[in-house]
Amino acid sequence: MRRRRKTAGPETPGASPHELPELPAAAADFLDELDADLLLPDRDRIRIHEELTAHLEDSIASLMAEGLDEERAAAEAIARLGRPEALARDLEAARRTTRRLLAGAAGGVFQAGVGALWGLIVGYLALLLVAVLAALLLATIAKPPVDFLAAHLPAFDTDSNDLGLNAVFGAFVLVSAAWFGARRAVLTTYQVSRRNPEQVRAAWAAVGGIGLLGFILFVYSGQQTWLALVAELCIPPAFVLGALKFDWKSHIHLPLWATLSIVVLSVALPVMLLIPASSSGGSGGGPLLEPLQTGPSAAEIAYDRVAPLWGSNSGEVLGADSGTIEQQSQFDMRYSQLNGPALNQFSNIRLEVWHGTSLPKDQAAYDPELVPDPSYGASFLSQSLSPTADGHLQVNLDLSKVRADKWVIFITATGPDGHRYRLNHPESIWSTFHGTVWDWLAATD
Amino acid sequence: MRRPSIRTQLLKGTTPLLVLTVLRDGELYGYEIAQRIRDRSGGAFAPSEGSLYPTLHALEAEGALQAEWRISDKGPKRRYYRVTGSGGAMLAEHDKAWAEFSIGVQAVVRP
Repeated sequence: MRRRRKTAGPETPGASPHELPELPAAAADFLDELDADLLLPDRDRIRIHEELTAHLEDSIASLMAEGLDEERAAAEAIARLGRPEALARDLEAARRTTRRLLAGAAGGVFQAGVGALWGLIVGYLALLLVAVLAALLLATIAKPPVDFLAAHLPAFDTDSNDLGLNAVFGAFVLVSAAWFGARRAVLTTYQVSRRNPEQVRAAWAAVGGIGLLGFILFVYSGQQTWLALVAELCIPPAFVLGALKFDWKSHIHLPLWATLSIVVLSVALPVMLLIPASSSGGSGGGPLLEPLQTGPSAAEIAYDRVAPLWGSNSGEVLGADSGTIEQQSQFDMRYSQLNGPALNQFSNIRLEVWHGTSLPKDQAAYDPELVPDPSYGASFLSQSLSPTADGHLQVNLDLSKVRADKWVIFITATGPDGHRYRLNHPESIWSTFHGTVWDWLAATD
Repeated sequence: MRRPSIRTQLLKGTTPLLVLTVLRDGELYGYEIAQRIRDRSGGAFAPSEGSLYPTLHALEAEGALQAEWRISDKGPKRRYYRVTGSGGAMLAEHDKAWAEFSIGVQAVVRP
């Protein structure tokens, strides 16, 4: 029985299959076995297939010319080539030079960057499309249920600079970038180095995953929030999954259990990080994921009257432009009675007449509650205050390790009449945390 | 597992030398290379065809050989190999090593 052969690797773009000579069935089966054992890019497999087809054709013709019948000639020609798995192993090893390995690694790194850029664009465009479709859907079909939800759900805080939705969008785009980057890196390294594809995938998954995790944890320094943290920590598992899931031959599959494990871990790890952060409540500050408890009891409020002394800079950093607060580790705030609204009973009272002026650590609140919350207190807040020589109260807050982003402090003092007063105007103070993920995790507020 | 023959073991390390030597005279494709070696040895030996192609591909990966597909005299296209400049240098190196090795072996085996 004879079979007409076509080249292997029909999946290769641009590689048109060539008609090869007819071979005896045994020879064709040998080539099929060899092809199944070869873990090489399609281009190499096609070449080997064509070369050995020609070789077998020559060898069989020569043996038949010596007097063997076709069946015996095919068996002898096959025997001279040895076992297909051994031949496949030797042919693979022949391509694995150090130069190719280095070129493959370098090419993989470059292509990871190209793929990441491509992934960013794809992810961004996909989100745009989803956003447009969602807007159309919400504006037409789903308007009644959306109105119902809007009426019953808490208002979304659009003033916050750490929007949860932004973090989700950011995570999606970054995951897309990591996914595409990993796949291009694996493909390039594999095609150039000709190494075992399983090893290439495993190497990229390990090196890329650990490298990205290390970079995100210890090197990359940026504005951090818990949600940004989740977005950043999505990148390494997405890269690992992209590398391990890459499938260039149909007979190489990542087992379902492995895929599911990675997906579950990718979701579970960031969630596990979030749970302690959110359950620690006020002590952690930051964009709390749960609303604060209702206001403190009367016993916890350490003032009973209000004498607001207007903040000379309305809570902004002295000597710096608004918005550069994250660049500073010190947050300076000055209060002066001279700038505040006059209150009849204290209009002539100087700061010197107040005593016990302090900023207790349990006298802070997470905006917009605007009531002191002892559970929100942080040690960095606690300090005794005394008027400066020029008649101001100066508050120095070290924000270098503070995860809180929007909060209110209450400066209290005992007045001439013996009552405890709140002195400052309770304006929101904004701060942002800049640093690495590790800095953020190590911060204790 | 079958033990490789003494001839196979002796030939194993010499295949690159034999391949480069027969290609020094002109370009050939795989089957022709095996035939040429067999002819030159008077039919005494030829490289295992299972090791011939890995050797050809390894030499090509190292830059010692260049290969291209061409239509052969027999009709279908064949992959022809030729020695490059670095392949010539490699051949000289192998040749020298082989000469020293064979003289040494001769001196021991047939003193």
